Amino acid sequence: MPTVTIDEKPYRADVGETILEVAQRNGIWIPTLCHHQALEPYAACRICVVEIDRGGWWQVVTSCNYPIRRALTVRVNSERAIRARRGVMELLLARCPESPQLRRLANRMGVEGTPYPHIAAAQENCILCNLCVRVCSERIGASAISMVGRGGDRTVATPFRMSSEDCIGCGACAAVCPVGTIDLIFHEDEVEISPFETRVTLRRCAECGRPVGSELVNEVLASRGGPTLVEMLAGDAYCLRCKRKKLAERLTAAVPGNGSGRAAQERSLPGGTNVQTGLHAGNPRSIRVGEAG
Amino acid sequence: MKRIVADPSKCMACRTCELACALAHADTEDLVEAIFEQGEKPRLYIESAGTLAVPLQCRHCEDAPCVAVCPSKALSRPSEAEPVLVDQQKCIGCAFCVQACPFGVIRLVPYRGDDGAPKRLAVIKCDLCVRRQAEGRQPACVTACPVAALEFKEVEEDSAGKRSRLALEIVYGKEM
Repeated sequence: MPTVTIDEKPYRADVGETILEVAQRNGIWIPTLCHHQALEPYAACRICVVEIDRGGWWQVVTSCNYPIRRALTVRVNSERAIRARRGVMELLLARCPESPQLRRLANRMGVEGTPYPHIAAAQENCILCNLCVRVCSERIGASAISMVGRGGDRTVATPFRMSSEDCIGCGACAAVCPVGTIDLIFHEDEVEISPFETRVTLRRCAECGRPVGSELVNEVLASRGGPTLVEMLAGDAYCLRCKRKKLAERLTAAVPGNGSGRAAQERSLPGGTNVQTGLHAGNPRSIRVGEAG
Repeated sequence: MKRIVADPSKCMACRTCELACALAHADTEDLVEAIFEQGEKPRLYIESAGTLAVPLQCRHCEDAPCVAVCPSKALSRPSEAEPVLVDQQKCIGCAFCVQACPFGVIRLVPYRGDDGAPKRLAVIKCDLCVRRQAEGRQPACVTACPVAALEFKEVEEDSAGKRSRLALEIVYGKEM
């Protein structure tokens, strides 16, 4: 088991672990942007750079994808490492000057502004970390977006910058974006993934009309879950609040004083759903939800 | 596995459990800091039904749909005797679980990573206060409830209590 020395303190590490993993486990803060524990390391943003001892000289490497093979000496908070990370942050700030998330991180790193001019419009508000592209292909399996263009024109887009046919509208790209550039915009019966100009059909709550999620996500879920889930998803969609409302009604139906006897066991809910509550109301398996006759 | 059992006939909808839940999952012991500064959200919800209210949280389903649909293995259940847990660091915010949950008790909230990096959305759900349980304490909502509407016990224990109450009712009438 190799020992990793970080800022002169020794830590135990496993072979194959990254410097970042060892640091995070031991409470040593290294800023990250393009790193996500559910995805493979990618080392695109360069904000996590540290120094390692190469025997006589110190090399600056990205900690998120540097695997530990043998004993290693690392400097996280040396003057050179801090200067390198701040330099990267100044460059990133020029791309996303308005991102509150990036500004907070810059603030924490002691970076106040950027000396660099703003970037071309095509790349504005994107640090090209590729998290959205990776989550879409690695975890969701849709590969609806990818990097397009070269050099100053490199950006994330759908094929031919047209509304994607592969996007399922789950919103994972928006959720992982570290600079808050991707948004879900809810329209009447569609959800738009901005700025990819992609729209997918939206399911709304059968009870109150709030957006529930994309129709295509529903199909994906049905393919992943068991028969009970398939049956549930085939019915009407309900929002979080209405789902809880229904559960609360089932759980209280058998309580005396909240309606009693037969009436409590078969309560007609608005929306035409008839809920029958079994004797043991705490057990979800004893509950049958069906259409009102 | 012990579960949180709610008694709707006792709950007075004061929402103390919601505050206690948010505080128990924050990085601070200060309620104001937890709610207003960190924006910590509760993992359980008071819902009204008829004239009653009932606290709801994850039911830790045996065949949990959220675990089945999670594409990043952020939701998991290590063993049958353990609750369904979410690793927010692995959550990618696709909200598959939010749609799959039949009870509406998983939700997507802004999340700051343990490394302090400001980023992304991740889901939260009831974890039966595993951190508190490891210290030998009960879940925060159970401890906080001023009228003991929430209890932390084995399902069989709960059923046994119901049976003995029913027996007493049959023998002595409702007054017991």
